[in-house]
Amino acid sequence: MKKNWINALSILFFAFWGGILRYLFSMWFGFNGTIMVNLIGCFLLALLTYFFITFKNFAEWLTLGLGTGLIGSFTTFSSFNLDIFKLTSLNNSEYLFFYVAINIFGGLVLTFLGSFIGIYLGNKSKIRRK
Amino acid sequence: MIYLIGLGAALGSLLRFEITMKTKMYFKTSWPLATFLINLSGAFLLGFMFGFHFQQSYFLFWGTGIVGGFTTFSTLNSEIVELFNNKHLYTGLNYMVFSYLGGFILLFIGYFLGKLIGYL
Repeated sequence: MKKNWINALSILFFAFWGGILRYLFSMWFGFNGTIMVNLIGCFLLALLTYFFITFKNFAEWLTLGLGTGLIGSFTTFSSFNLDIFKLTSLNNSEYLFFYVAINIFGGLVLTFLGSFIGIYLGNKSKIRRK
Repeated sequence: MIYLIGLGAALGSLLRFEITMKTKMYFKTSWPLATFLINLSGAFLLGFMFGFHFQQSYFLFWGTGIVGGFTTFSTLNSEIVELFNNKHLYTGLNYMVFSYLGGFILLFIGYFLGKLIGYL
């Protein structure tokens, strides 16, 4: 029971900052800001998840806070769709195509990349620990 | 104002976590049902708020904050990659296509519903 509260508090705390960061990126860079948060977030979530899985030495509250909280809140699916909707009325089909493609395929590629690097770093840290 | 966005994002993320836990407890499928439902409903809600013309400060708290923190792009991609890695290629592709198409269609429906109700 107590553990659940710590996990919840950790998610609240980290998600708070993830949301603010996302907002700042969209203020500074507009539509490109959403691209940046989604791509950075995809890479980091895969990196963290696979690092934590491989290395296995972290408290649950920390992995949940960083993964589900910070990065989950930092990336956004709803704003991505709203951006597409806004872009369709701007008559800039080139950028619209770029926006959709880079989010969908960039996100996928960076997730793969993040998972490989995460496993690599996890194994390296495991060896160092021994 | 910016802290209100943070607060919304915190609440939205915790809700996402709780729904994911509960869904995984009751439905044992390889299809990532929780994230799927969260992302689609979030897209619908954001479309609704945008169509309804929420006042800016309300939109920042409820839309950018709560719904933005509720939905997630990184977990969606992690789940797709996990499905691919586990040789569920077909499920992964389906999950991808239905999430992206469904998200946009639901945002569209939400937008027009919000606009309609806004006129009433």
